[in-house]
Amino acid sequence: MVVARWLGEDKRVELRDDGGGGPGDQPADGVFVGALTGPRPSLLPLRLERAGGGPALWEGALRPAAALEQLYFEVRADHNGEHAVLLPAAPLGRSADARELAWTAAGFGWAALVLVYALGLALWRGR
Amino acid sequence: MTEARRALLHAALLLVGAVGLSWPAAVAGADTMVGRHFDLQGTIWFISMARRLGADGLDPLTGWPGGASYARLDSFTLALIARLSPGVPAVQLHNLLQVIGVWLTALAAERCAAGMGARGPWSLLAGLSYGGSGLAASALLEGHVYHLLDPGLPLCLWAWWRAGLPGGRPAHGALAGLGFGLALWTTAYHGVVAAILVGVIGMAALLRRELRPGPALTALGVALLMGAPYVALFSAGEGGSGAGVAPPGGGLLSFAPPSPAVDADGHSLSAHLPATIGALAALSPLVLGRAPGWGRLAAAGALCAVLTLGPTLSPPRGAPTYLPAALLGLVDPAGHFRFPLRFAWGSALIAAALGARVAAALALRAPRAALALFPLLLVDLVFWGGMPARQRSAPAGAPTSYAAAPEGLGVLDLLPAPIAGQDEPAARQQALVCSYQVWHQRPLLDDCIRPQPAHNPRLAATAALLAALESGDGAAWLAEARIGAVALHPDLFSPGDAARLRAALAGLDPAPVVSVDQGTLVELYRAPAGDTP
Repeated sequence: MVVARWLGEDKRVELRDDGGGGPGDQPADGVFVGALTGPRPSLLPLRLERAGGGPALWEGALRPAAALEQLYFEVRADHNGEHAVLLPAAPLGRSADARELAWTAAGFGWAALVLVYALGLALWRGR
Repeated sequence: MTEARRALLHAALLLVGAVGLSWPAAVAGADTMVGRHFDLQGTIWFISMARRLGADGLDPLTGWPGGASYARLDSFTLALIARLSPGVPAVQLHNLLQVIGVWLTALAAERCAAGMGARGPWSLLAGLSYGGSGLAASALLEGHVYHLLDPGLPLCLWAWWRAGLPGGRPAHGALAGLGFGLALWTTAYHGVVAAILVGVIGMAALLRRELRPGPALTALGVALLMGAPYVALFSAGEGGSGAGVAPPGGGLLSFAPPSPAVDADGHSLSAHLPATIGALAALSPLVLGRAPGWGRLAAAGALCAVLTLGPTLSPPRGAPTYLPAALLGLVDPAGHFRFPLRFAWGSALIAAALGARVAAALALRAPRAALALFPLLLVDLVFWGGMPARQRSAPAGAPTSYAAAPEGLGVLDLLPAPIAGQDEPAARQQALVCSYQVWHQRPLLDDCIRPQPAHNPRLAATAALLAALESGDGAAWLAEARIGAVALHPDLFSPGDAARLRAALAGLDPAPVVSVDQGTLVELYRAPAGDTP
């Protein structure tokens, strides 16, 4: 469940299983989705909690950067119990780090291609 | 085509490029703030504040009622521009300066590269890569537009580099000193970067006995003339983020294309170096081996790049390695340089200049193939750099309830107290309430420049007000503090705390003015009439 304090109103949305909508996605695989709509706030207090109650998994106030924002939380468990982490992007294969790594690797790959092209120009002797 | 016409053509082309990279700001009016992070609101407030700042550095409308001293401004250049344009709304001026700033940054780098031997059109590569660099994008996204208002750093680089070559004249030294001063007054980071570049290039020129006393002494004289007042103001002001420890830098991945995480973490800080210009600069030993002065440029750029990495480099395994930036903790015990990433302005500028020179040399061998460097660079800037797609905008304005606050008396914004050690939420709240002042123009208790909670008078005042309310002396306390209204932001409190605060404040004003606009719910409780002096 996500609880938001939205310009004076409490808004709640119970997250539901995403039903395996995307390619390779499976139902009941632990991915839950939900949506809240309303006038754009400057700061939006949010709380992520279990539907049955208990301590908040995540609590904070976000500054929406656009009229449509997508937020991704990953619930983790450690010796301190359960807590959620706000991710910068949708998880890829249950790991946002893999997407970050892929982007960075692609960037270095592009740089290598450009370097090879420039090196070719440097070594070009012409006709 | 004459050089003058070519320069004008390049300026026009770079203006088109600047508009392309910053078009959300180009089309936004006075009702839309363009930027991604909360420092944007602080900069817009800064523009508004600079227009009323006294010659003694005192702002009467913050730090109420005594005023706040802002001798140590983030950017004197931005303050001057704000004072010279009083009729332009702060938000609109900020939007305009984004476009002008990108253009000015690109043009200055293009002229610098042209002066170093990168004939047209190859000097355009320097302009585009510097104006579209990761740090330039960060300035647009963070809200630090003043980082883009600095032609001084490229001027200093070109002039000092030229002064250290055979035929260097005192005029070159004077221009180098002028460039250093302009950079320093625009932002201290650029001034320090200029000093680093001057140091490395000057030392190399001295070792080769190519730096003559005339240019050197002239540069020193002009630099002292422009720098001494700045140092005096800086010393008189208060600030610094901490003591002793140099903050962490960006790491090697800072130079990589920014990923979504870079924007999500709140600062969009990236020293992304466009691959095309980086590749060209990397070939400078091969292509420019015998050209005069390239080695000292490369050395200066390399030092700036190493400083960008921060005080330590942590390998996947083993202990971290200390880097030169660790010395910052000795040189700057007050911790003013919180973001070593900004030293990359130096490496980005030098990479741009060197890369353009290399491109000009390569074009002599394969002119048609070299033209492909332009679309490659555009791919770097737009796809890998992500601008302008990464930019965001938001409506500008203050909640209407503030208009009910009595004029000439302060407004105290009630916000949750920050948790110890978490400066960023407090800074975000401070930026929000300070930006509202641009529209409501009521005095605030905040120090709107220093983000640390420990330096914000509003927090101490909040605690005092709550204690006074508890003891039934709220009205008297407000009168003594010359506060005319209390603005409660109930959404940011827990429901229980919000209810308790409402109950306590109802004793002051049973009918608060409530507004739900500009993205915020605000309840304004006015101090009882007749109790304020």
